[in-house]
Amino acid sequence: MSDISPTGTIVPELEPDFTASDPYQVLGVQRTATQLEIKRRYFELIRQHPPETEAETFKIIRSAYEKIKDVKRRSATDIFLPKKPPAWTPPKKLPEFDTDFYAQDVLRVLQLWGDLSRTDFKEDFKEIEL
Amino acid sequence: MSKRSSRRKRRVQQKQKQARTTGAALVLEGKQAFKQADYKVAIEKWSQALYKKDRPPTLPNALAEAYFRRALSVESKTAVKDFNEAIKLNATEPCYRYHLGLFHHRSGNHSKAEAIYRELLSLDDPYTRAAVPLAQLLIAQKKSVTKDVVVKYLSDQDKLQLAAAEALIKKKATSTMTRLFDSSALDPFWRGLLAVALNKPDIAHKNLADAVEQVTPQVQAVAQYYLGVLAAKNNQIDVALAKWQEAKAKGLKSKHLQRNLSTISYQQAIREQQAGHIRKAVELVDQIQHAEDMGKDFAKFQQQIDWEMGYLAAQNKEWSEAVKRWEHVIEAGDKSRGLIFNLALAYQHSERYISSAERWRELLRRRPRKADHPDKLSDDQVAQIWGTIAENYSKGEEYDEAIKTYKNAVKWAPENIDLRLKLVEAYQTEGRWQAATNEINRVLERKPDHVPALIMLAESYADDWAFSQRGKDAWLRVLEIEPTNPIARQQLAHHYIRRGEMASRWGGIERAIAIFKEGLEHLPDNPQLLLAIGISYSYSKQFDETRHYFDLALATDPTNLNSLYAMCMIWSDLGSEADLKNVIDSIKSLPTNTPSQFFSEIIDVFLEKDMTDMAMDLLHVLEQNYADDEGAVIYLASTYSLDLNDSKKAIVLLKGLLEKNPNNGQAHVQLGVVYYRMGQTRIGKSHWNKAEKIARETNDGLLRFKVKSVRDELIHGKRTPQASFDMLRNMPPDVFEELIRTAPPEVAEMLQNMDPDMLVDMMMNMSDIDEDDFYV
Repeated sequence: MSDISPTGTIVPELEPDFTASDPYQVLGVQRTATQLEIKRRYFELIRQHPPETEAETFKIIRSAYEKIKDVKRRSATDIFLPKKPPAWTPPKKLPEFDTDFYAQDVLRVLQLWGDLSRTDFKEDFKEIEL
Repeated sequence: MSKRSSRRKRRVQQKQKQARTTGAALVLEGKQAFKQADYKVAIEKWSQALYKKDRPPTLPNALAEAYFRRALSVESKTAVKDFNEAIKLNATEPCYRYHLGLFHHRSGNHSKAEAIYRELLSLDDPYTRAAVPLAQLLIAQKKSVTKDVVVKYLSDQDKLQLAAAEALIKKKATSTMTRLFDSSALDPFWRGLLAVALNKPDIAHKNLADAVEQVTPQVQAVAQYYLGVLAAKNNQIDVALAKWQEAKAKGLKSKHLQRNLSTISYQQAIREQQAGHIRKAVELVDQIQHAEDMGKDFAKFQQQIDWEMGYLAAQNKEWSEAVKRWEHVIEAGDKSRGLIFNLALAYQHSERYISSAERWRELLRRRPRKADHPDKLSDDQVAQIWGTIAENYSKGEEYDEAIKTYKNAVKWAPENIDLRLKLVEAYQTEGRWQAATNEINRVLERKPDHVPALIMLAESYADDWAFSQRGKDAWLRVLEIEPTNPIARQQLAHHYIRRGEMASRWGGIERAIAIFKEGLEHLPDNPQLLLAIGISYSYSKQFDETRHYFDLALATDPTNLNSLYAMCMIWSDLGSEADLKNVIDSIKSLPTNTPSQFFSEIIDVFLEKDMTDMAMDLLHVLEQNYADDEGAVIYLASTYSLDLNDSKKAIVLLKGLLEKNPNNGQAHVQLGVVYYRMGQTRIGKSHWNKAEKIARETNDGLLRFKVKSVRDELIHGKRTPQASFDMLRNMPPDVFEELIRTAPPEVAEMLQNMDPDMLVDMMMNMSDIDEDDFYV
């Protein structure tokens, strides 16, 4: 799973994600990684997940590596990977709290005062004489 | 009697009945309803009693009270009318008028309310309860209370609180507020609000906090709001948030409260977004009401959040969520290439192929052309995108567009064989065989040994007799390059078999054998060709040759069921028991996962031809190897019972099956048939009943139909559809001729080329009935 840096750019964690469709995520490398970094990472992962004991995981790692193992394949893969969101800087000025005193709040209380807000007037009921 | 006179008569009768009811009775009925708070009935009864001579003098007052109480009830829709009725009936009761005043006051009908309050205060015995609401009304209208006559009816305590409210509403001078603020009799709530207005935060906080304990929840909401304001001023945002949330929970809905809550959500959302917690940021943004109050940057923040949420969704393969988010960003005005690209990709994954193709095209139109631009696409990349567009059109079933765009892709990367082959596929899909062939030839000019292209070329010719030779040459070329290519081997064999069969059909058995043997030169171990040659030799009565090729076919593929079945048919037709025995030995050696239906079909053939020993041989194999196959056991039981008259054996088999699976409805049907035929009709019927119950429970229409069929046939002697088909099949020639003579011309023309068997087959096909369904 990716995370977002304080500057707003998305930085993949260096944890491989074998369920991802993005080969960079599978290998746990950044999209800006050099070919050498990718290769090193690949070797590291296949040592951790050898084909003899973890055939399925190995296949996933291998397949991801195949997609970006050289510049030509990488360029063909890169053009069909989702583009990262643009960098974004928070606005310098945010809306401030409204700390004014409002007469309408007093009017509201006034409406709620005494008989106006009451609903139970049983004490105003009179006994009938028939 | 007319309807009108009938109605008139009913009305007269009703009036007479009412007249007969005494006043006392009506009063009593009304009293009972009144006690049960059913004021509607009370009013109805007492209103009738009002005009009776024997009604009590206090009845108008009681009726007035009933109207009054009904007016006060929550569900009252005619409150004003009821209050007025109460007042009319008991004019001396000020309370009724007071409540009418309150009703008008709450409804915003202030002038009527004020008039009533003033009237009540001007009575000889002033109704002073009206003073407070009148004062509230005056303050709300920004009128002076102190200069109004109402002031003399207010208590000192009320005067003080109302003066505080008046000062705050009218924003009176600080000195006035300070004077009120200093009064020790003032409630903490009002003192707290005055302190807020006088900018005395500590005192405000203390008094409002005290007031929260003493006032109603609705007033508490206002106190909590200003406690929040004090906290916000003191930069205690968490405290402010808690207080404002409490105010909201207690029913305060003021715009400034919403704005402050939204501001907090906005600030928190930015913090979460910056920390990379996009989902949390989205939750907070969703809480913001009145987004227009959040400033112009808020819209941009929302766009950013949607952008990032779309990206997160895409990473998690939640493509429809990604589409939704990115569409929001586009709608908000962002038309960046990165976004168009992502949306194209997301549409594609969401299977919205045409939308995807359109976005990809937009992206290509807007691609940077300058050589030094960082986002410039290479020719290969442009070709790849055109290829993707074409693929989307193809999946969206826009084949013309797919062809056009594949052609574009090929223009950008003429040496890209994969793209050219995709173009071929698109041509083939549209049935444009010549264009497909031309394109394949272009591929083969570049790569003469390209196997997939050669396979496509062969497939292009496959169904066209005129070009079958070219197709064969293409398959042979594939086999030269890849001798074990399974598709080429299979298709080449198919080519020879089709040609051989065609020759055979026209009586050229020798020609057919020659064609099959030509195929065998290329595919020496092909069991289909070996079998075909064997069968052809049997037609020309060269049985040694037949035997030889059948042996070769079995040696090549001993488990080929088609071969074994065909050999059984041929040898049984010819009555060659020795050859048949050899084939049966091969059948007995088949692996145990061979479908049991294969055995049953061959057994049926033997039984039809009275080869009972052969049939028994295979029945034993079936019994031994397929004891767990319920279909096989039912077939065995049916065969033992109907064909071999061994009902006991059938019963043992079916009971064994039902012990393992008591819910097998077919087994019950069959067991019922066996018992019924043995004369044990009661047991037979009970099994059919069980089958019917199972059919009902499992909603199995076919099983239900089978039960009905066996009952119809065995109990009632009715003809089943099978019997009807049999009747058709066995119809005498003169009846069939009569049928043709009387049929409509177009049907008659068709029937003339048919015999009764063909007619039955056609009817079964038309009605989608499987003859096997009727066997029981």
